[in-house]
Amino acid sequence: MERNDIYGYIFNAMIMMPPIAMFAYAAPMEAVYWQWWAPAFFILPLVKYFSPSRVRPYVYQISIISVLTYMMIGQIRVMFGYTFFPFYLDNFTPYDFTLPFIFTLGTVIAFPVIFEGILSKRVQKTLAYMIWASASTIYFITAVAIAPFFSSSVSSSLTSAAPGLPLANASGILYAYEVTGDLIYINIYLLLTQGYEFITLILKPSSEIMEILTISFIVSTIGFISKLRISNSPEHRAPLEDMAYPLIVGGTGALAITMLVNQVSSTYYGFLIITVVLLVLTSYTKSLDRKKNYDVVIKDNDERANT
Amino acid sequence: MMKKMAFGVLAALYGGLFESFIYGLYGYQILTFIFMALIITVCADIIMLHRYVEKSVSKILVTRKISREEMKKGDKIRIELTFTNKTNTSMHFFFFDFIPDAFTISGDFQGKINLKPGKSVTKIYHIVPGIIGKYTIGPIKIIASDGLGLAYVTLSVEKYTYPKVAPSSKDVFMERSERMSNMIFTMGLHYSRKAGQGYDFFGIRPYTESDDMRHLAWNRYNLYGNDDLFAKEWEEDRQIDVIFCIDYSIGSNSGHGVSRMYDSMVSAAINSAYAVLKNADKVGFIIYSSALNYYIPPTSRKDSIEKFEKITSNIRPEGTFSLDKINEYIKKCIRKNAMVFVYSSPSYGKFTGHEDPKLINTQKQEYYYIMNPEGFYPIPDSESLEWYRKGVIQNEIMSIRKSVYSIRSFGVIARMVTRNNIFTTTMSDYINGREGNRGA
Repeated sequence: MERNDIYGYIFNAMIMMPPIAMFAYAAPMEAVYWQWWAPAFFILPLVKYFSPSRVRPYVYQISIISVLTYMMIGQIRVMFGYTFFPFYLDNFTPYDFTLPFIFTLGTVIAFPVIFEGILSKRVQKTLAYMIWASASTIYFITAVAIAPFFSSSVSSSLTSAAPGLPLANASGILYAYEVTGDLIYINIYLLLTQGYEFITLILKPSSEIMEILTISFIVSTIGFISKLRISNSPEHRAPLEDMAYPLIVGGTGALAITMLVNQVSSTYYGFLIITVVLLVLTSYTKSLDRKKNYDVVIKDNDERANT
Repeated sequence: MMKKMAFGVLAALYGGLFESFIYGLYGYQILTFIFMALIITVCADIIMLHRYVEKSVSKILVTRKISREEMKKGDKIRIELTFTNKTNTSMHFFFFDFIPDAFTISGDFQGKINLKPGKSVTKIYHIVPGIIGKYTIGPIKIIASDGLGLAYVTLSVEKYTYPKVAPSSKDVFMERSERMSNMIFTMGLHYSRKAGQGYDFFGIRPYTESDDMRHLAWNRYNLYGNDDLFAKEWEEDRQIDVIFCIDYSIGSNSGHGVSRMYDSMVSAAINSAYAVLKNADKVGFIIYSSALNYYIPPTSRKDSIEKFEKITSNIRPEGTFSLDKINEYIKKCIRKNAMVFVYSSPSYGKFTGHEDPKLINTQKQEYYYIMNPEGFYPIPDSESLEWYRKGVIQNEIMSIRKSVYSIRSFGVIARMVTRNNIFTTTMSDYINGREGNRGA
């Protein structure tokens, strides 16, 4: 392993710090509700990296296909009744998509994603894995934040009102987890169609997780910038001083926008951010004007002397 | 120009912003802040590169100094690149000088430069030419990158140098070689004589009234006792014209690196020419392709070879070539009889069947050589590719052989030659032709 590779893994771990911190925070709470097959997700990345190099790219694909096949057969069996299939299918347990199943899948998936993010060579991949793993972990933390509204009494009352719902064994957190997802979809739908949000900024997570998030995102930003630097070969690496301007502009710009966002009503929140993003994009694409960039020709000494 | 990485990073960051936008509803403004900060940072970085860095780098002064433009193969030539920063800002860039693969390069022809305001930096590198011809060195590319390494700008310094490479003294060993092995080629080969006025005794014959009285063979007078008169007959030496005709089509550019077909042909022609010159025959040259037509008339001095060297160091192969076209050109240029050696490449020199049959035989003593491509293809690393290469060459050789037989059927001596035996084949054909009084 080269020295640059080791630095790469260290910076990757720094980029992945927010999901790592949140997973470490949430995993003990989640583990109680995980189904028996959850540990398979912890073993899968190790299986991938210790398998022969020819098989390695197909490990995840094969796992996904086998899981989907298992689910499909189970579902078909449920649909057509148990007696329809011959006896040799008895080994396949019919699997209904209960809330614990979705919960286990949605929360434990963060682990292989974090693992892949740390080991990936390209910064954009690590960043994408970080965002994916963060989505999974923040989802759970949000569910924890709204769980008090969905106590077991509420869920049981809902179950009695609609007996067909598979919520009979769901606790408050599991139900909150499901409702969080629904609320997100409703929010996006309303934002796109009506121009306002369903839920305002009334739901605040615990201060403990906020601190973890803040620190881990700062670490992640440092890791991201460092990783960008080492991903270029030393010959093509620009000096550190060239980074100062974009960092200052990025930091102050984002601070100003966030402060502004806190001042305005949540109804204009999305609108404001979209405006800022579009402004940044416009100025950025303008600077990429091909004509300007490619026609520049450095003059010879003699020509310069004459002009 | 943005790298793929930059697109990937921006896409991921916008995904993150979208995510923060959803979760931001629940009080996670920190997410929005982080992703907004990263997006603005990345964009500001690229904007700065295009707005400021590119402009300042484009004001750089670049000069290239070459120790000499005319060189021989194998000479080590020094080149100096000087970069001067006349602006008030520091510059950091990567430079790269475009040099053809005909040169072996050593030194700083590429690298990273940090230039403080008002300072200048000189980079020195050496080139060693490996093939003859005229080449272009340049332009100098300057690549400036942004702080985060997400994008770069490429600027081109349109400054060119045109080195002319002539054959090395090693290539033209026949010029100075006085070894016995070379003498063997040409010793005692003056057979192209014509009976008549001369200095060498040829024989005697009965006297006729038109004979000069000075040539009477008095010691044969009254040989048979009937007052017969006999006259001495003399013979004179005649120089023959040997023309080397080189296919300079793009097909002769076959080869890789410093091993090119036209280079081998030119070396063989020059060496053969020196050997022929030592035998007191005249030597001329034709360089022919659809784009290049040069005829150097035969002379019995070195100047025709020198002219040939000069021309070949000024051109590179281009255009196409065909058997009938070259013969038409030979007929047009050479009026009297001559010994003509045509060196052609397998790409255009093969017999296709579309040639004009009248033009295939020039009625001169013509030797038509087609080069074997073996030795001009690079040897690949993998075994499977090596088998493929062998197969391709074998096919080519079979096709050349077929052409050779077809051309021979028109009464022209045709052969397939390799880079190693082209010179010796030329010389043995020359000796053979001399003995048979061909081309006289």
